[in-house]
Amino acid sequence: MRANLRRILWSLLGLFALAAGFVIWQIGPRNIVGLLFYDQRREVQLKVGDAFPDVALEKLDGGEEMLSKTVGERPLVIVFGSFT
Amino acid sequence: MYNDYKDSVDFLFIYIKEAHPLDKNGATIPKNKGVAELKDPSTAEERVKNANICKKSLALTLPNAIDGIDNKTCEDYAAWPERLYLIGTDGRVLFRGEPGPARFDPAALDAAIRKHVSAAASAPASRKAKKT
Repeated sequence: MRANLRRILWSLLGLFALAAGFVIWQIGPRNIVGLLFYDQRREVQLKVGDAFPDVALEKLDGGEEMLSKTVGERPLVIVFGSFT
Repeated sequence: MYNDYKDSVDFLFIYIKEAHPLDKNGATIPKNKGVAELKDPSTAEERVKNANICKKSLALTLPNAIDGIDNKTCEDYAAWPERLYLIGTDGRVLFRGEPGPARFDPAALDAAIRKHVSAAASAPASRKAKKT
């Protein structure tokens, strides 16, 4: 009886290890590390109704421009993002 | 969405620091392997180069700008890894989206535009089925 129980537990443990291995393989080991240690999210302070923070932005073709130059004439949608 | 609203609303894509830079323990996700392998830049020039790769690879048609190497824009707007905002003509925040990718919600932005921008009220119904 105890031997059977041990065998079942070892089987479950093996299945769990296989499932964990599959997940790590799918996501990528470095991404697991990245998810754990490279989370750059910040608590957002900016609220609806607040004045927009004016910031200096680089242009793709060089040079710098303040965001305020784009704000005011029409409503502005800002999409923040990156490639990866 | 850009094509539907561009006559009444301005759009700006601001390139910020990479979500999965190759050298910061955040390798590219499997589906992007071999394509999106960008390192975290240490100079403004490197970031501009990455931004140009991003624009070209994603075939972005929105007007583009780039966060400075000090990441100030990203910090001020809590923008990482991706986020949407709508700013009114008076400079006030009309809509602040939640951080992506899980909570990135173009439909909520669409609703905010329709709510706040009367000129956009007549935009085509087809926009509802589209994403940015």
